[in-house]
Amino acid sequence: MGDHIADWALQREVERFLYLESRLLDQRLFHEWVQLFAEDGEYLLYVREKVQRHARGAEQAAEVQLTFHDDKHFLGLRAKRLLDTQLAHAEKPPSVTRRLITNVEAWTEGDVVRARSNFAAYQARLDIDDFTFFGGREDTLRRQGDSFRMVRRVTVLDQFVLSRSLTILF
Amino acid sequence: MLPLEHVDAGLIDRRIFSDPSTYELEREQIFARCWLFLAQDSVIPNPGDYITSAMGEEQVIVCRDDTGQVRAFLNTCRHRGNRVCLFDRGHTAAFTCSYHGWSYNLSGQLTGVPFLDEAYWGVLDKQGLGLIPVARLERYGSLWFGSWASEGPSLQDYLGDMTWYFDRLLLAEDLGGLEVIGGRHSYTVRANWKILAENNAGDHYHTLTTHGSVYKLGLRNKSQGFEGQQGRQGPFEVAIRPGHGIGGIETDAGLFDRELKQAQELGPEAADWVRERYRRVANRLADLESKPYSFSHGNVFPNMSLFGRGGALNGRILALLQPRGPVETEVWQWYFVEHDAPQVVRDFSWARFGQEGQLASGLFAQDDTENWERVTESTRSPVARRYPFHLGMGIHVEGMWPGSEEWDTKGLPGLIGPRFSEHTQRQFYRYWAGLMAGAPV
Repeated sequence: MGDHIADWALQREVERFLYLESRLLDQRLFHEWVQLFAEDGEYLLYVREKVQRHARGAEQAAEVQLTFHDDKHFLGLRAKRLLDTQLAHAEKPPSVTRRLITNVEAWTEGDVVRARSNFAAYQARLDIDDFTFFGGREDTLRRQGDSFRMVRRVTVLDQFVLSRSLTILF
Repeated sequence: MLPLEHVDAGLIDRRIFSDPSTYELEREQIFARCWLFLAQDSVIPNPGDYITSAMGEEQVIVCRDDTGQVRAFLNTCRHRGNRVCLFDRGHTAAFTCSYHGWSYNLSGQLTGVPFLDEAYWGVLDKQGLGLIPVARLERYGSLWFGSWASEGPSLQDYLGDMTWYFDRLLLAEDLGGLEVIGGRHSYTVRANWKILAENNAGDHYHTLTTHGSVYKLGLRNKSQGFEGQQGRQGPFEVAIRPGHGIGGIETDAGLFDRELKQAQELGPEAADWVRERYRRVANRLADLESKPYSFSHGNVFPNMSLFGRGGALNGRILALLQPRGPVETEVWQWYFVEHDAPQVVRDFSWARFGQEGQLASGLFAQDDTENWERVTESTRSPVARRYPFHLGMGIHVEGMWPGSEEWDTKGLPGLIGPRFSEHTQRQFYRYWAGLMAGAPV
């Protein structure tokens, strides 16, 4: 979408929501994070792929490929796995993460709010292993009280070959 | 570094998992000689379609030429070595080098050289400067393999009894054949490729521990394959000469009943498909005394792994464990559904792949990779390296497991062992050690 007359109040509200959401993930409050999703909420994550569609002319160089497609129920299972099974070896001991959310654009579309944002998600594991993932999100939010619920979170992770298996959420 | 007597005693020298000179030798003795998986037909369905891949660390292009024939070439310009194809997959009429513009057609022939008359005075052996083809390219069913060795066993001979299992559990020709969904998924693991390959070949033993969280969430059931004694109808681990493995083999049709229940929740179209599919599978297996209905994991030596469940509601995964040095592997995966499956089943099985399965987002893959990285790390330091890995499970009863006379495995080829066994992995290392010492493929 192109330019929107900036609705600064909406911008601030959406930023606050995205910061809250990001803080819940960094604090490993995964059950609370799942509750930010609407009952019909969806979580999709794409990674990049280099696909040449035309011999000449415009080429989609960095296409996307679906990797995660979870409903709220399955997100709940992921949260449960991480926090309650004691058997999520990939996160035992837990990673530390720090997410930076930026480039937020927010606008109204009918009865939903749309938002775009970029992220850098830093993950440190075990001893000196650290990774930083970069990408963007397109969200569809529905107002609830003085906050929002996530109806659709679509993340594009900017990697062609993932640096490791994905044990954190974006 | 790995004498056969040691493998036979279940002792695997740690150094083979991180020593750089071992890795260099592997590049010659294993990856430059064995049959390596390239592509399944539906990944490059039409003339002009291609993927880029790797055979060991050799970068290759695998494409379908104008006549529909599959070809494979080194992805390197014959002029001064630049890569001529930079995408993961696509469709093209020619591969053109970005350096000096040399251009190759889909059959690898050098067809375009800018300023040929002026720059080369018309003197250039174009015929002899085509893209370097893979020495041998053969198919089994819809699977294409390549080898850099111009002589040696045919692909069919190399695969051996694995073809028997491919026909019955993987290739699904009577279900419309395999159809790829999406592109290639890739993630990096800081582990030696053999750690992954041997696990995929024959390690049922790790599942309940490593993937315990998936069981605790109720997504898998311990009663299938872990509780009680070894079932007479599986699961079984099968070692297949020369160094392949397939496991989680079950010869009871219980999966059908479980899937029918699940399919009924997805709707009548899904339930109809599960029934129809079972009819076709039963027909496929009709002449067999013991009938393999499903598998869960497998590996074709050296580094092509397969996953599935053999049922209607899980697809099939073909993976390449691409070595990127002694302590790094890129896991590449393609996901397949059965062509005749209805959309509701395709969607359901796809979601399963990403959620529970082997994809980087999957709950299974995550816990595996952590283990393998730590295992590889343990092989790098001088004192730890003195202590070989213990691969001796059931070594004293190998081939004569108590109770095996009762197993419903009549006519199943390979060395069929119980669910908890390491005989497949021993066979993997036996073959590896022989090849490293110069034995023929």
